[in-house]
Amino acid sequence: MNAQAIQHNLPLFSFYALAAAITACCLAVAFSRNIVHCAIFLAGAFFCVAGVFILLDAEFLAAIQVIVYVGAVAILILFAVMLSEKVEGARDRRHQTSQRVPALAGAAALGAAAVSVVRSHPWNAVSEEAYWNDMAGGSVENLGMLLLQPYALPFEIASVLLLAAMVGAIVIARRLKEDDRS
Amino acid sequence: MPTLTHYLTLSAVMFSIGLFGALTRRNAISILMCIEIMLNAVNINLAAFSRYLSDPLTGRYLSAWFGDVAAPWQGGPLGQVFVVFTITVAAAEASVALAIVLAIYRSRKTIQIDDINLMKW
Repeated sequence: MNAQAIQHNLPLFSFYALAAAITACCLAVAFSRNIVHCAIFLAGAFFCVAGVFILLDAEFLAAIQVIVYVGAVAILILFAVMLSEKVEGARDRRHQTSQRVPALAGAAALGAAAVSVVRSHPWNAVSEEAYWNDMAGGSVENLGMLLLQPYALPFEIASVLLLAAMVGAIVIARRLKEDDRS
Repeated sequence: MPTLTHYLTLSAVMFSIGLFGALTRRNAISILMCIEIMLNAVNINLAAFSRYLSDPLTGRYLSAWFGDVAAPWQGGPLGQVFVVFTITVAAAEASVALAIVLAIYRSRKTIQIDDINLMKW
């Protein structure tokens, strides 16, 4: 294969590499017995999903995926693991329920149904020419325009939701001291 | 170039793995992790639709749903807007859920879900 063909197929190769890494990380999260390993593989899966967003020309989403998921949610999960159970105690022998077979059957059936629908449906995909004609400036500018003009109200409501979630999380997780009750 | 089908297939596989994990894990934090995987699968779906689908009426990328096609924000990466909101709600959900897990651990000294059946019946 010559250099030009490799360059032409680079997005496809990147996609397959990212897809393999994501699948492996997700399987590790679903099957690993050590919950700290689960959390670290989860961070790896989030990071690879950011790569998929870059392949999809969604640079802003890739950035917030890294900041919010890898930087915040994965760390939050690691903290919850550390604060809740000892790591050795988390290595639980009965780490999965007895309903493994029905769960596997259900998940596999759902996945097979989704894949068959995806493969058989005639998507009216946009031509690359039309896409780059309309999106010459990149997607970040268009996304900002969308978020701050027609979707400004949901945007503000989302910030209020974050505030409410923050206050709620503090109230729920706070340790009540006896002398604080006065 | 990978096509829309590639991304949707990856998303379906990811969602199924997350569903299997959420159904079988018994540690509450593990279940939350699997739910995050499923949310990420949905995000890939939305971003892929946003990148690859055209307006069925005009065949163009920027749709005419808002009227005048000339304005820059009309149409375009609508799916990415949904992904932004999904990530926001998922972050809120994760923080509250982990706070609940910590509160349960503090009062019952376990986060194995089959030991937490206080409100089951």
